[in-house]
Amino acid sequence: MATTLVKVKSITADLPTGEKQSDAAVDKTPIVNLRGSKIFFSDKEVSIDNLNARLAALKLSEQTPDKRVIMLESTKMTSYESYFQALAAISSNGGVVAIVEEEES
Amino acid sequence: MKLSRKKKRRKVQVPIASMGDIAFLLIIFFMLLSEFSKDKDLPIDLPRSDQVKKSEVVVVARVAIAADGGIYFDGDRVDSAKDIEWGVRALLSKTVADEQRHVQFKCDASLSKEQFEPVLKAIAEGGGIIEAVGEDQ
Repeated sequence: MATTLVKVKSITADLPTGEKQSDAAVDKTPIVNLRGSKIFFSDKEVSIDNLNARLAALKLSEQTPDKRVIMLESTKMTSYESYFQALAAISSNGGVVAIVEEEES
Repeated sequence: MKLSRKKKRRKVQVPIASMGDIAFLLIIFFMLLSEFSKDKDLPIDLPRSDQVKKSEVVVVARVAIAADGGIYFDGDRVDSAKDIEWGVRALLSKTVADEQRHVQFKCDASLSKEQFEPVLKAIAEGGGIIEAVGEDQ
């Protein structure tokens, strides 16, 4: 049996569960869209560095918990690489990630 | 006139009787501090980001999704994301402190949303805080 001193590198993301926001609340919440490898912040295409800068400008860590929420929406073809980078950007800037679910019809 | 004095050399004995005890203590120390790498052999190409930091938290469980889409909970393959939720929920049933809710999550960078998102949600539904593992860019 092999043992190893593991010190992995990671990001911490606490995803709130079981809460559905009203449409009015959703309108006010900043949203990050991942469409394939493209990133959109409030419907404008941004690079990952630009997303970081935009999130840093929001000063999320100084906000109340309900104003720290950033919605994260993604298309079916979004890779984990893009998702991870967006998750890392939100979490490292003090945001709380809320995953947007597609409603089943 | 120079008088030469013969110096008597004393033989110093190194006590080695306790060496065995010290060696065993060191082995026990490293065994306690090290972690069993259960998912080391899984084919996972980790995602890259500048934001990753060395993890200092103690994780209660390890969840991994390999490149072939196989889901693993503490090294054992499971059938679905629901099994992850139940596993995490069972582990955290008596946990109150946030520090004891961290669940390590490893996923192959190439996988699509349909494969990883149900597992992320399952960890969150089970009450876990996700420690998503990545590499420096």
